[in-house]
Amino acid sequence: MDSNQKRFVEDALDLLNELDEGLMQLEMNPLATAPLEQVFRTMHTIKGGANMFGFESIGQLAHQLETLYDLARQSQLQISDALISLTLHAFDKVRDLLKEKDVAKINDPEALKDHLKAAANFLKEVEAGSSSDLTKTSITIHKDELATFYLQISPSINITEDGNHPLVFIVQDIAGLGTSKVILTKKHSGEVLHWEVFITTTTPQSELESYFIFVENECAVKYKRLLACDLFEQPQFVEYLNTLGAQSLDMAKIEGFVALRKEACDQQKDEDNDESANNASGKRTAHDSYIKVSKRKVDDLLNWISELIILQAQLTTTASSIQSAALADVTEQLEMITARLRDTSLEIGLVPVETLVTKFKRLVRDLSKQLDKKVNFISEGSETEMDKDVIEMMTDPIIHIVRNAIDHGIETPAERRAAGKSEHGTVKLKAFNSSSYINIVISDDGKGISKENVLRKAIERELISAGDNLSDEEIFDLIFHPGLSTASQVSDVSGRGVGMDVVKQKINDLRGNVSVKSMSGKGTAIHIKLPLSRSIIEGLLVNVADTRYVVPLNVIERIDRIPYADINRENKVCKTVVVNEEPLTVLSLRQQFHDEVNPPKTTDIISVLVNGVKKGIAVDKIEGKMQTVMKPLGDTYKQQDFISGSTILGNGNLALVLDPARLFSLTQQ
Amino acid sequence: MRNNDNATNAYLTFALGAEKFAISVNSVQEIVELEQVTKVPNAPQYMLGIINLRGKVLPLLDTRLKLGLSKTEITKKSRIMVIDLETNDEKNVQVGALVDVAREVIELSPADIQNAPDFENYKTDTPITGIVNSHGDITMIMDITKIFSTAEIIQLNHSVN
Amino acid sequence: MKKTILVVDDFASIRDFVCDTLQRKGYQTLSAANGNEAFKVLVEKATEVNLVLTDYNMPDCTGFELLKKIKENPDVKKVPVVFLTTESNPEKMRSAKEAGLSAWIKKPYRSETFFAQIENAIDNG
Repeated sequence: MDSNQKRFVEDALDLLNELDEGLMQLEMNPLATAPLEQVFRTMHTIKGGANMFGFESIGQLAHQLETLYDLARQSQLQISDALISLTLHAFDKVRDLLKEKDVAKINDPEALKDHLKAAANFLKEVEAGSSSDLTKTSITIHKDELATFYLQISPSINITEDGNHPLVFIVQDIAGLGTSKVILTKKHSGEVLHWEVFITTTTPQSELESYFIFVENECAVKYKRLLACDLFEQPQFVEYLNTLGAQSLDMAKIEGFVALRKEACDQQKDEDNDESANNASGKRTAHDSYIKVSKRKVDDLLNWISELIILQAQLTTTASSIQSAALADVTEQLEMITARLRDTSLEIGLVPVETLVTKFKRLVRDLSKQLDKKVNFISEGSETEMDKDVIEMMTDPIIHIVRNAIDHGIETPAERRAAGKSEHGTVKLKAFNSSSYINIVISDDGKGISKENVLRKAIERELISAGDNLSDEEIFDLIFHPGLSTASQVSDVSGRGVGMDVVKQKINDLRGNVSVKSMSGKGTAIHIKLPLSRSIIEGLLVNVADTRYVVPLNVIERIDRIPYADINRENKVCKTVVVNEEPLTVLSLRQQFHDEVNPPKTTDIISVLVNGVKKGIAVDKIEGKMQTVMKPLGDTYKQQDFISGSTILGNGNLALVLDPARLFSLTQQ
Repeated sequence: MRNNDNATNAYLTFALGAEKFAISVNSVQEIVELEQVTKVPNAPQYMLGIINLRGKVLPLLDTRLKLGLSKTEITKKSRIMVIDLETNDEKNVQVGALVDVAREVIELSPADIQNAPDFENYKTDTPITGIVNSHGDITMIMDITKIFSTAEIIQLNHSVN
Repeated sequence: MKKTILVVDDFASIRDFVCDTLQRKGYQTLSAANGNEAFKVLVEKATEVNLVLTDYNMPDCTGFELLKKIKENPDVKKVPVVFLTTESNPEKMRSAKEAGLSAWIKKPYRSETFFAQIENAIDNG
């Protein structure tokens, strides 16, 4: 695939999203004109691009569907659920195809065959039905009218018929608008005297005239609208033209043919052919204030800003040891500006959550139809912004959660009625910011998660024992355990390898967390929290032997200080210690990774939440909270995944950023 | 043919213990002194940790250990060679290779280099591509990218854990 | 001397394609993703640009607004402007002509028409 095609695929995928949005609006409001126009325009753009870049079968499909929606714009076809579904399915297939890497696969005529047939059949039905359909609403019908024109184009400059002047091509273009005949008359010198064109076309005269607007100074054009039907159907006319040879046209004879043809023409046509533009000119929907920038450039920019932030921290440290007021002044200002840069850079890679929202609207619609449930989808805060990559990574997990909500959460209309609820269930996606995190809450008003079911299954699978006393939070957290996936009715759901455990894993990978709240009979809410920036992390800087580590803030519950002796028993690395009057499994970084010579007198215990369970990490000393830029360690250290990366401290030394979840799975043999 | 024999290439020479080695300068970005190394736990012995090279974080590897020799004793003369490795997906990866002593850059022409006999002391797959014999003083030409190929490191790493 | 054309379109794929097409015919190209950017580039390189080829429908600053900006600026008003667009509304074409547009190329276009219009616009303004 060449780069032009790649670009088109990117653009097209965006357009398909917009198309979905418009189609769904149209579904809810079939008589609305704005979404209809938008849908038509978007299909038109997709068609144009597809044809231009070698994706003919997609162009063909877009053309078929565009025709249907054009008929709708002309009120010759009413928007129906069947049409919308047909369209959604067709473009879903297009979307799937565009994700292929191989152009041949994308262009495989077999792939779209069924959709093309469906569209063609639909069109046939419409055409068959329209002739007998008299119950149209009284909106003015704009039909394209056929007419035959005579044009005489006389250049006022010297042009040869094979020359490069635009006029030559304009005449050819006009002749291409329908059935036509062009008669060229040359001067003695060989240049063009005039072209005479007979053209039967639906193009209105004003548009024919517009072809010459920009060459007005170089030619004189005479127009005559001969009649409102096809003169070329008159055999004598055609014969006359063919036998004309070098003679000049006898307009009287032409008039005669016109009269003859008019009689044979039955239909009533309007005289006025002022057609307002079909291609609505308005600005593109949404995204008005956006500029398309390559993601790679944005990533590069953000990388350089990260470097700058690190260097500035080092400058501050170095400058503080040099007594110079002037230097201190400049350093302080630099610090201010760098902080601003950091904040701005955090925003640049962010895009509104809206793109996710459109996908969910589709999902809710499709699933609820499949499962015979009535579901409304509400979104709140879709203008909230998130890192584009993170949105992509979170799409599948969130889709899975929404699927669960509809599949297991929302009850059937009958069940809901029996429970005194409205027939329509609601699934809500709410996004909002809090400090440097973005929050996404997916909630439903269905029947909630049954604690008893979860406990039962967990005991069955031996994840917990019958006597264990778990808090509600801990019970709900169990749904993220790999051993506890609930089967789904919908067959295509499970094929994707996304379970709640994968959802949690992905969220943890992004150093976020997820919690579940549920009330039996009332509904469920799943709350996802993700850091706004993946490379800037907030954490506690700690000391262990002569190494510094950073423990990310998002999983930290509390910190305590206890005597080192308390964890220095039995020579075991992971042990249960009483911290804050509760038993806690503690992992000592010193004992795990470092020399135990000269241990400190006290040790700081950082309580973290790992897979829903509270655990402790013992360090020599917590130095303080910090916000810093993290760099990945690279492929060489891929195996040491309990370290997410490193960060450069103010004094140029490196600190290792811990991944608590992976740290604990390391020691669980 | 004659012209080729006279064309010289630049090699950086260094020592591991008593042995002298040379590698093509094309792979070496620079030589730096050893400052702070931050050890990353649970890694093979020859992976000494990570270093901060003017804002870039690089893994530091003990060349001696990687070749199957005894551990490098850190002295004032110890140096880090910053090596450019190309990976399969064209990402430019750099690693630091710790050596006992870094020497000068010399020019060698193909005529100066003889074929390498088999060496038993070295674990890795024949990284020695030739030897220079200067009146009994032997310098071994090494393909540094073979010793530190990332794929191999990742694989070794995997098997250790 | 090679002629330089400034191509303006908010669709990257089309923008690149048009530049490619022009380059194959021996033109040098500059490109911009929107009207404001295009105007900036034009003002900077006023003496180098021989023609501005722009889409009509663009967010923020339409081709028409760009046309007006160019023709109202004494430094760059001599540069011919051509629209390349799916638009075909005669009234719009007329207004554009009055605002100083040199040519209006409709999409889809034949390449002979395309190049003939462009050459004509460059030569005759």
